[in-house]
Amino acid sequence: MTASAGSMYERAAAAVRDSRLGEAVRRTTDSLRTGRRRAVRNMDDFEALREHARRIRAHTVDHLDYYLAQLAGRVREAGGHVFFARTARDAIDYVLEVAQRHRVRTVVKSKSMISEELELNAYLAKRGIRAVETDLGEYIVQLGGDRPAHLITPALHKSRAEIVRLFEQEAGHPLSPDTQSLTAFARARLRQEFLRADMGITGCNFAVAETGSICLVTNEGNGRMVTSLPRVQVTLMGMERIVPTLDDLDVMLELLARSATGQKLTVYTNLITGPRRPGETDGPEELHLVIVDNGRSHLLGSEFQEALHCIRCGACQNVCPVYRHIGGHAYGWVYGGPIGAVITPLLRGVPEWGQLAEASSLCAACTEVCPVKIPLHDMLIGLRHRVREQGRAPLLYRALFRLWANAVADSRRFGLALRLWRILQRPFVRDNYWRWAPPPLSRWLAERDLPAVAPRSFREWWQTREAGSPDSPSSNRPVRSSHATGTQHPGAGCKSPHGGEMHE
Amino acid sequence: MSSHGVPSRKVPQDQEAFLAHLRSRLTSVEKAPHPGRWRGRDYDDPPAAPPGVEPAAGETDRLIDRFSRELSAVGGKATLVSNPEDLKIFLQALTGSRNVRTAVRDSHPWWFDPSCSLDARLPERHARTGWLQALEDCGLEVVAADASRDTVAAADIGITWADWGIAETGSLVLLSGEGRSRVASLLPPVHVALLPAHRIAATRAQVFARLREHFPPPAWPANAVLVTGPSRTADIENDLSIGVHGPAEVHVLIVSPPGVAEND
Repeated sequence: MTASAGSMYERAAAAVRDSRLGEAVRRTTDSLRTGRRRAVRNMDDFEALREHARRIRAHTVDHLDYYLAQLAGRVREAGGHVFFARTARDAIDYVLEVAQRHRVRTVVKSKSMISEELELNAYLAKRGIRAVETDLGEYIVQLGGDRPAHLITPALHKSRAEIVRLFEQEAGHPLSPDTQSLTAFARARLRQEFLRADMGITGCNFAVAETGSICLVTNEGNGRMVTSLPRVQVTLMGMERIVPTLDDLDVMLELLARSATGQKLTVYTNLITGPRRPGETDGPEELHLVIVDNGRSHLLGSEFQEALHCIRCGACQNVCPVYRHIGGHAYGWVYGGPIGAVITPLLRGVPEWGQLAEASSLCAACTEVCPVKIPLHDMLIGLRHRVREQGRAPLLYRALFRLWANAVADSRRFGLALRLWRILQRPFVRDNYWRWAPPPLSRWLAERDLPAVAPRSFREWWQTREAGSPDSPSSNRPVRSSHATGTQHPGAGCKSPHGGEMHE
Repeated sequence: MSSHGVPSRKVPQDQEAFLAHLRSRLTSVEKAPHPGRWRGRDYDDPPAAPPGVEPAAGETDRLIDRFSRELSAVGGKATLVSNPEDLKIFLQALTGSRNVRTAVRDSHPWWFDPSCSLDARLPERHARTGWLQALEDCGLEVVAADASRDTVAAADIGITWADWGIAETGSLVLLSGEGRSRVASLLPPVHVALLPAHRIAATRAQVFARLREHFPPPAWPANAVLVTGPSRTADIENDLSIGVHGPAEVHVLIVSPPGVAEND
């Protein structure tokens, strides 16, 4: 998928202005994260399980070459074909070659984020091969000529009215807008596609090295359709989506659905191992597994290797205050939310995509819910550091931070800076808050409260206290002592109820 | 390693270059050990009852109970049956209130073999058993799943055996293989599954362990699917909807004839 037009800031600003989008994103993410919280609350040892899963992922990615070789051997043993694709181009060419050899005209797809990375549908379409998305959310997104906005609920940005309009265009007649009718329409329409498709394309939630199995989890059943009906199955797999054993898969399954939707287990957990065997009446006659790098190996051996531990549950998106305000599209590529902000620059290039690392308040909610404990917010800081190292920060930014570093490095200089600041802030401050400022600071102030530097710093207060001054705050008004501790005010950082009127 | 003649590209070379690249990226990495099995998990098979001894009283009942509760929590329905007559009555009740005529069934060996063990094979000649007779007598037109795909797709009900049940999640485990069918449990809007009570395991981990034991990898089945309730989606404005692509109804008939020994 190519980058959307404009910078991340422009996309984010547009998304924030879209109140309907904001409401839709919050409704779905609220529901998903509440589900997760409930599912997790009833588990003993959930934290220990996360740690165990983290260790499985760490071991697996550290030994990725070994397990991929084992997997490939098992898949071939079971009668499947394996292709290793270094680049998106390699993967697409391979899929195209298989499709053309079988004279494929219609492909049914179950949800695959990696196929979005590869822009596979567009390539197939250019060669006259129609690819139909069959996950209901992905189908809606495809009809709208749109991109998925969330890992688990790709169409969360689409309103019912929009969906009705898209389905009616497709149906050629009016449809009732209730969910059951819309679902029934999609079921009937996609059923025809399943039955006549020549090829099924899937993603891969986990491959199991021990058995050579591809594990697909879906709630709708489209994953089973795509792997039971067409003659040929092609599975695209990000190279890190592998576990060593069935026991490890069991651990991941304990975590995946609970973290994603709050279910104990998705409705269909499907293990596919090679094509159908002699004597079987359904299942693919030919099976291809395409293992894709597409930039992932840049992360191996780097400080960001753990980002490859991700099992794509979407939990970090549901809790991220930034994602919850701007949705997935503002991130500009395939993956949104904290994990997207981390891996997009790493897979696509820091110079062009590094600004995604700014799309975070560093509150660490993402790290807290990650089922495999990826330190996402640390990685975002690491990415910001990398951006600065490459000299991508604006000059003013760098100058200000140099000044700041200088001032806080030494207590005498810091005291001096505070005194200077007190004088400078005088024209702008009333009731301990900045009320207005000249541009460009005015823009910053429009959405934030900036408390004034207190008339007396903590150090100054401490000195008077040590000297036993009669108005020592500790002796008569300990509760209000926070007024003397620099810039700390209750409510700092959020809009105060009395603030805002005086802004220019 | 053979490339199986397809595709034209030399697959193993691509693999070698790909994996060599990964190895080179990983040389400087301090390799983490595998943490072993998850200590909070019950992997062991329940202790097999010694020959001639009934299983611990209540254990199977507890598993049936848990399975039924979990299944109903995800929108499925469990019913106890003890013989083919019960199946016939169940199907008549299920179809009586609505306009359904056709059903598709798999040809699972258990239709013919009351031991319900994974070693059961299809008989040389299709015997007429009580279970199949029940399908004949229930008033539905029942075809086998190896009929044409359109016939299967048009059926109102799919009837299959389930190779295992998993109590902790209310899941069915359906394998591919001789006589079994992937589509019979998938295409029709209603799925009726027969599940022998003694084949309910407590955990998914136990089923994985038994699968591994029974089918060491080259013999691993082409398909093993865990089905946990009816098909569902929440993709339209986060509003739950049942029966998207898979069945909207899942009925599990737990077969618990008095006196059936623990098996497998």
